[in-house]
Amino acid sequence: MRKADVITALIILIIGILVVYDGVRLGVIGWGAAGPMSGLYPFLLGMGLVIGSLVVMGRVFIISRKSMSNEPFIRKGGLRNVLYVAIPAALMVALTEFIGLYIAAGLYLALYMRWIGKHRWITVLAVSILLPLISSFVFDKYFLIPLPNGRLRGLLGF
Amino acid sequence: MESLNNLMMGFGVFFTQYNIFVAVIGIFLGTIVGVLPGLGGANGVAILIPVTFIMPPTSAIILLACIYWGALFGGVITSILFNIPGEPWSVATCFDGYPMAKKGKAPQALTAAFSSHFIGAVFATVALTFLAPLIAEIALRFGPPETFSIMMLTFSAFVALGGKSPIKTLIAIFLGFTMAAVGIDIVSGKLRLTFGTTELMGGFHFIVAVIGLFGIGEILLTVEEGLKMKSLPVRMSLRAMLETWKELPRYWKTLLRGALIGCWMGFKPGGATPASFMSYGFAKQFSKNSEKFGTGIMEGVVAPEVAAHAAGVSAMVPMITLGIPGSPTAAVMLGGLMIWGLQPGPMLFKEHPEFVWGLIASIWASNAIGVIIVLAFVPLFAAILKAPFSVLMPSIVFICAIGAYAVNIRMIDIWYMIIFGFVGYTFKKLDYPIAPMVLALVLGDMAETAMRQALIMGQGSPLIFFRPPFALPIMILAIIIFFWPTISRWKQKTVKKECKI
Amino acid sequence: MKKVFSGFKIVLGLVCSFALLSLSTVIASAWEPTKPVEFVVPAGTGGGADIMARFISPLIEKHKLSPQPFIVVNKSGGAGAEGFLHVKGKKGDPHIITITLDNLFCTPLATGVPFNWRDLTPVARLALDWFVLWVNAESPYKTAKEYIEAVKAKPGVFKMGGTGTAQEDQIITLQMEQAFGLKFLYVPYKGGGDVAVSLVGKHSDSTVNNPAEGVSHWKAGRLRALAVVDRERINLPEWDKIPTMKEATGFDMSYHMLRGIFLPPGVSKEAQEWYINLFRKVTETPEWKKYLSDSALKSAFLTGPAYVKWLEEKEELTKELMKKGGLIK
Repeated sequence: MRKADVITALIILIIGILVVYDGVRLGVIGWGAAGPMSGLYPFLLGMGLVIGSLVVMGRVFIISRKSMSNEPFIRKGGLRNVLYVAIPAALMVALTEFIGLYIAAGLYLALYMRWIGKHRWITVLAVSILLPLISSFVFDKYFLIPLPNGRLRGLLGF
Repeated sequence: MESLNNLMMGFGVFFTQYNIFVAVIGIFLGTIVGVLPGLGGANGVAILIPVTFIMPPTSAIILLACIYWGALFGGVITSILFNIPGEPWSVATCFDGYPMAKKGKAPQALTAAFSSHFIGAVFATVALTFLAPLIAEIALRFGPPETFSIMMLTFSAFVALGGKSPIKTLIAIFLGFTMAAVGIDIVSGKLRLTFGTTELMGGFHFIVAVIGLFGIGEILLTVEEGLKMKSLPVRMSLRAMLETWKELPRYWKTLLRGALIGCWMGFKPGGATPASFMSYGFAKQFSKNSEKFGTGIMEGVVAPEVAAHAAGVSAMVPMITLGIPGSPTAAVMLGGLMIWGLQPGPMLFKEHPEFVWGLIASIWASNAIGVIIVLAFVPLFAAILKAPFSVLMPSIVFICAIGAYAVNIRMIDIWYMIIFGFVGYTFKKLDYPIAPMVLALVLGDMAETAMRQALIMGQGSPLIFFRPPFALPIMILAIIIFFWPTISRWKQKTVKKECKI
Repeated sequence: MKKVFSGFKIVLGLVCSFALLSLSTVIASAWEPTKPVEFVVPAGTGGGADIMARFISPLIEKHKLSPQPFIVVNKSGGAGAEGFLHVKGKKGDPHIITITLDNLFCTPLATGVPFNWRDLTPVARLALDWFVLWVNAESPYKTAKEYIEAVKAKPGVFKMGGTGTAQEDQIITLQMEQAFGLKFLYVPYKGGGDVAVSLVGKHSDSTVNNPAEGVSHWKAGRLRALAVVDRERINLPEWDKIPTMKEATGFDMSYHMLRGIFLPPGVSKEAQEWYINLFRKVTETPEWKKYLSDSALKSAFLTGPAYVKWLEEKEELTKELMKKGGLIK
C-alpha cells in the first residue's frame, strides 16, 4: 500500500511541476485591471498539486510508518485478474489504430469469452460477430458517427 | 389565465394521432441514445433533422424534444446498472444508484429514478408554462459574477462528499481543475498546459474521464475480487415498483428541493449537470441519514435525478425565449428551427404562438408518455445484469470505447479512457475521492471563465463577486453551506451540553 | 493467437484484392465522396459557423446534392487551432472539409500554432458576415456619435462584450479605440450568443455582434443597432435603416468575417472541383437565400484564384490591425 501511495504521489508531483512550469511561462506576478495574470491560475493549481503530493509522501515516510496499514495494494491473485482484463483491453485499443475498432473489438470479445469465460464456440462467435456488426449499423449508419476504422481502411481506400 | 388558455390551445395542437405517434417514436429513440454513453441527445436530434423536413414544424419540434426527454430518461440506466453515466447529469446518480444495483435493488433504483424524473419534469413544466417570461428575465440578470457565485454554491454543497483524508480530497479537486484548465486561456487568448501538442488542445472531455474513472475503474475493482462475478440477483416484479412508489413520498423534501434547484439552474447553459450535483450535495448535507449516502440509498438516487430532469425542461426556456442554445442538443434544434423557416428568439412567442404552445403542451404529454415507456423497459434493462460476466464485461468495455470515441471523434480519447480507468482504480484504493475531482473537471472551466470575466468587469476588484441583488445572497449562502458541517457539529455539542445541565 | 493471425492474413489478402478492384473503378469516373464527409467546425456549438454548418449538412441531404452525408464535428479547442491542425493533418483526404471564420487568420497569429490558411486547399467563400455596433435599447444613446462621446468622457468604464480574445470582435474594438481615442473594458465571452445575451442583460454596455447573433433581440426591441461596420448599408429590409460607421461617426470603418470552406492539403483537383460545384449548388437553393436574408449575411460566393487573392488581402489586413492594436508584436 505504501509503495503505491508514494508512486501515485510522485506522478502527481510530476504533473504539478509541469503545470507550475507552464504557469510561470504565462506569467504569474501582477494583478492588473483584467484581474490576475493568465499564468497565476495554473501556477496555483500546480503548486497545490506539488505541495499536496509532498505532504502525502511525507506522511508515508515520517509520520505513519507504524500506523499505516501493511496490507498490500493488491492481492496476488487480484493482480493477475486485473491484468487479465487490462492487457486485452489495451491491446484492443492498440489494434484499433491499425485494423479499426470493429475487428479489434470482435477479436477482443472472442478472446475474452473463450479464454476467461470458457464459453462454447458458438456463443463466442455469435457475440463477437453480432455485437460489432450491430454497433456498426447503429453508429456508422444511423447515428453517422464514423468510428475508427484504422489505417487498414485508409490503405485499402474504401 | 392567459397562459392557461394558451396551454389549452397548445394541447389542441398536440393531441392529434400523428403527434402522439411522433412523440412515442421520439422518446423511444431518445432513450436508446441516452443509454449509450458518448451518444447524446445532440446526435439523436442531428440524425432526425432530415426526417423532419416532411413534417409540419410543430410535429418536428415535438419529435426532437421527445428525443431530448428520452435521452434524459435513458442517461440513468447505465449509471445504475454499470456505474457508467450515459449523460453528464447522471454522474451523481452513480454514487447511490450503482451500489443499490449491487445490492440487487436495480429495479427499485430504476423505478425511483424514472419517477423522480417525471416529478422533476412536471414541476419544471408548471414553471415553464406560467413563469417562462419571468424566468427568462431573471436569467438575463445573471452575469459572470452571479454565475461564479452559483459555481461556489455548487462546490460548497459538495464539500461534504470528500474522502477520509482532507489532503487527498484537495489533491483530487486540484487535479480536476487542472484538467479543466487544459486548452486555451480565454482572457489572454493564449494556449496553456498543452505543451505544444495538438492532442491536448481539445482538453479532457468530461464524459471520457467519467467513463474511464467510473466505468472502467469499477470493472477493474470488480475483477480483482474474481473473474467469475456472480450474476446479480435481480427480481423484477410489479411489487418492487409499487414498494418504491410507496417509499417515494417520504423524500418529498429532497424532491421539492431538487426540483427547485433544477428549475433554477436549468436556465443557465449546461445547467443540468451542476443542478444534479448540487441537489445531491444538499440532500446529503441536510438528510437525517447523511452518512448512508453513497452506500446505496434511494434518497441518493432521487435527489440528482429530479434536479436533472427539472433542469432539462427548464433549459428549454432560454432556447424558446432568448434563442440561446442551453446545450449542444438545443444548438442542433436551433439549426432545425431555421430550416423550418422559424427565427428562434423572443419573437417566437408572438409570431408563432401555436408552435411554442404546442411544444409546451408536448412537454406535459410526452413526459407522461415517457415515464410509462421507460418503466415498461425496467425489467428488460434489469435483465441485462443476468448475462454472464465474461460476456458482459468485454461488451461494456467495447461500448465504453465507442462512447469515449464518439464524444469528440478522436482516437486519443479511447486511450484517455483506459488511463482514466487505471486512475479511478488506483484512486479508489488509495482513498483519493473521485466525485470532487469529477465535479471540478465539469465546472472548473465555467467557474474560471466566470471569475475572470467578473474580475475584468470589476476592473480587477474581487468585490464584484458580492454585488447585489443576486451574487451577494448566493455567495453568503455558499459560505454558510460550506461551513454547515462545522455548524451542525457545534449545534449538536451545545445541545448536548444543555442536556447535561 | 497464432491461428487467429494467420486467419486474419487470409482475410486481409482477400479484402485487399477486392479493394484494388473497386479502386480501379473509382478512378475511372469523376470524383465523388465514397464515405461520409467529416464537416469540421473549428468553433463551439451554437456559434455562427456551427449554425451554418448544421444548416448546410441537412440541406445537402434534402436536395440530394451528395451521395454521402455530411457529418458536423466540432473541434473548438485552442480557439479553433485543434480543428485546423486536424484538417491540416489529413493530407490528401478528400472526405473532410472545414468551415472557417476569422480565427483562420487570428488564431495562428495570436497563439503561434504552426498553421496558415495556405496549408489548406481553398474551396469557396460562401458568405461574409457583417458587424454591427449594438447597445441595449434602454440605454440613452440613440446614435453611434452619442455613444462614442460618452465612452470618451469615461475611459475604461464602458464594457465591450466580445467573442474570445485576440479575435475579430476585439480587433474591431481596438480599431474603434484607435480611431476615436477611446478606451473600452473588453470582456471576452465564449460565443456570440452569450455576448448578445450579456448585452440584453446589461452586463455589457455595447457589443459588435454579427447581425444573426443580435437579430432576434433586436426585433424584440431589446437591442438598438447604432452602426454597421462597413462602407455600405446592409441591403436588406429593416437592416438598411442602420447607418454605416462613416454616416454615423464620420470615420470610415469596414470589417467582414469570412464564412468559407477549405479542404485538407494535397487534395486532387477533381475532388476540389466537386466541392466547388456542391457549394455553388447549395448557395443556389431557395433555403440558402432565405437563410442569408434571415440572418443578414452578405451573399458573396467566390472561388478559384479570386478567392485566394481575397484571402491574401484579408490576411494582410488582419495582421496589420492586430499589430496596430498591440495583440501581436
